[in-house]
Amino acid sequence: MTCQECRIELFEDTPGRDALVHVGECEDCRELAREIQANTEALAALRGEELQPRPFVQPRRSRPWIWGLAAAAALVFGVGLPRMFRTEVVVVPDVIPQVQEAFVEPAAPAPEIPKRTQAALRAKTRPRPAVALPVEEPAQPLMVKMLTPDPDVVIYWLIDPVEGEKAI
Amino acid sequence: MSTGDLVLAPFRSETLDDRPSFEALMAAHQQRVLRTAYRLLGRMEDAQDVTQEVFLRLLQHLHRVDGDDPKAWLYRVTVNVCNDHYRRRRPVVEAVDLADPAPGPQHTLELEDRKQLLTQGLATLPERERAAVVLRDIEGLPTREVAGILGVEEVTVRSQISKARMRLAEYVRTRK
Repeated sequence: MTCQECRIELFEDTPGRDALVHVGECEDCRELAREIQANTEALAALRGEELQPRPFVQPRRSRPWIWGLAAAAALVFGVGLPRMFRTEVVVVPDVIPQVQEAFVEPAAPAPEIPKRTQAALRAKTRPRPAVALPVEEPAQPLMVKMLTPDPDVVIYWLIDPVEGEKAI
Repeated sequence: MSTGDLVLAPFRSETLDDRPSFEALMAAHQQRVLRTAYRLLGRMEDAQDVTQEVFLRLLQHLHRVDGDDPKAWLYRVTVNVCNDHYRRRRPVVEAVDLADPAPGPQHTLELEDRKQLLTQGLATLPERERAAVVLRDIEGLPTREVAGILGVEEVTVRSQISKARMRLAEYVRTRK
């Protein structure tokens, strides 16, 4: 066995018989074997050292209420705040003008138009394009003028969409 | 009052009334875990951090750990936590006198020097070799058990230990 082979075996747990025979014959390998033995003893001596442990830190208890609190906070921030800063859209109902029946003096009967004249008028009449009537703004009050048998007395009926009806 | 009582007193009274076995486990294995972590990392402060982490894990997994012999579990977790720690920070060996700094006979002084050199030499070893030699030569575990803790084959552990011893011998020889 060569010194190289012996040294490889000496570092193992149980060197072979050939290695031990070689150690008995070779001074260098014997010196190495003593060195390895001293290291082994020193390492084993480290086992007996008493080290100073640090006090075990008490682990924190889990706090389930923390999660409830977090959920509540998330609810407030997620739902409450947008609602607080939301712009209100108020839908104003359309004002439907009420038809008021008023007493109107019957007009005088129209004079009789001859049939020829009626035909001529019908021929001249052409279809006019439909004109869009201006839409009354719902905010303006509706005024109904009512005539009475007395020509000096006229009744105006105002219908305010906000305040209601009142007669002047 | 022993060291174990001193360490465990506040812990026992407030949190673990229903888990007395944890106290016993900690008292029985704290030194072993701390020592292994210290040899793997080379710095007492880091070893204490690791020990804290290991026993926190023990507390969390107490129901899964074999109560009769959690030694292998503790070694495995210690090595894993130390590896994580080691990857974040390269080991630094402290030149501190540990247990008995009082001078003795010549051979004791030589032994202390050698222990100091070997402690420094451990920090120079590759991670796996260091773990293998710490468990095998310092903790005195059988090769089969070391292989189980490290999750490798026995032949691999033998190879790692052999290489580690070789490196340590070279380290000591060049610094004597």
